[in-house]
Amino acid sequence: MEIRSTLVAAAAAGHTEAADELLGSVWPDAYRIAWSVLRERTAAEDTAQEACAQVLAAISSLRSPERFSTWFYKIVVNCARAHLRRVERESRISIEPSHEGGARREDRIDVRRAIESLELDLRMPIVLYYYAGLNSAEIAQALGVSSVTVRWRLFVARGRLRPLLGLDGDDSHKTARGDYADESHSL
Amino acid sequence: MNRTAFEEGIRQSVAIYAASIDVPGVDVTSIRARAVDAREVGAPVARKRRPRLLTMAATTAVLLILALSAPAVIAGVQRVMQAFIVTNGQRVPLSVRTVSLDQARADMPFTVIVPAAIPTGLQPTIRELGSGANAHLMFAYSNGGSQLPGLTIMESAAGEPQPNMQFMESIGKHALPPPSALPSGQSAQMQWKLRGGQVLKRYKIEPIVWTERGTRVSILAAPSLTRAQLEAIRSAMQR
Repeated sequence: MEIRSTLVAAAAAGHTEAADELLGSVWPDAYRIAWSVLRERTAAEDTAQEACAQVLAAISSLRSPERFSTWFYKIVVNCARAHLRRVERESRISIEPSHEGGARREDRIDVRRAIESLELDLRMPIVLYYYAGLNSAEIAQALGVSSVTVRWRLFVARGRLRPLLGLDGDDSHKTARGDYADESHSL
Repeated sequence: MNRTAFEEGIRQSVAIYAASIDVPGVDVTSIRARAVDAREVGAPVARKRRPRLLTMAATTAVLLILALSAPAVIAGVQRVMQAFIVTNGQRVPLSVRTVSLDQARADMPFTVIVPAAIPTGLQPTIRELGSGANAHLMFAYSNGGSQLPGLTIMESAAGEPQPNMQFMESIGKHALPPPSALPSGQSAQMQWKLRGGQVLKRYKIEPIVWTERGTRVSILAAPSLTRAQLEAIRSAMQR
């Protein structure tokens, strides 16, 4: 997903319409990333709002508009994790996975179950890599871990998803070590 | 399956996953209001004026209000609200969206009972708190000459358990205090305080609560509204 640098630059310069347009364009991604962490509508919406508010509050300090995406996703992930920590710390109310809204087709349900069956540490790199289009270095920056860790988690997550998504046909690359090595080059 | 096909398979699956997540509409007003708070929290400079803060705690039948500054007329004032569900003494934040009546009707999982017979001069703000079965609708009426709410009408699904809720509202461009600064108890008392603790006003309130077409309605009002006025509102909403 590409965010036009000119729009970011205009929003950073204080143009209200550009900021509104930017908010409108990043909102779905903020919500979906928040959802992929929290899996609850209210929490995801609150987190996405908070992330967008932080973006709006600090965008004038963003030096390089072309780095907006990484910066933006880092804020969203941090907000979602902060929400998760706060809920775990402050409340006995647990956030349960919800399947509202999206279960219109059986394949969507299966895909959703498959991806949400991954632990958060594995799910986030998968979503940020395949949905947000970040590379391993950018994901590492957003998650606060090393690139090597990101590549390893992507490798493990792919391995988990392979049978769940029915992608485990007769594959020629069966050696885990080689598989991982190939991935590290591709990132 | 070769690597390219495998990669493409995962990419498509993640795309399906993302598309399966229904995204609510963006509430730019709320985001802008929260951005003001975020700027002020991050700003190291001292404020020139004391913040005007309003803190409000409520259950179905109970409302507690703390105002941390003197009420004043502020032109173009900005109001920001945060809402919490209180469980075992812990507060969990709820999403808050300022909406139109039509939007509230579309979003709420219960019949929205439109307030009626509202005294003139009270201006409404409609807010959705939470979502799904836990959704609540708030009609907050403030008097144009005062920043203090004169009338609050809460609605929720009658069949759903009613959690303890608290509300915290910032008036003007000021950061909200942390949730730990909220009062922890529940009280049928409403009071206004200056920042620093001086109590300006304190009075009991007697909420009116009833169920209408499957919707639990609670009317909470300052003593400036008479019992007859509140009963007139209730009567009009029951039609």
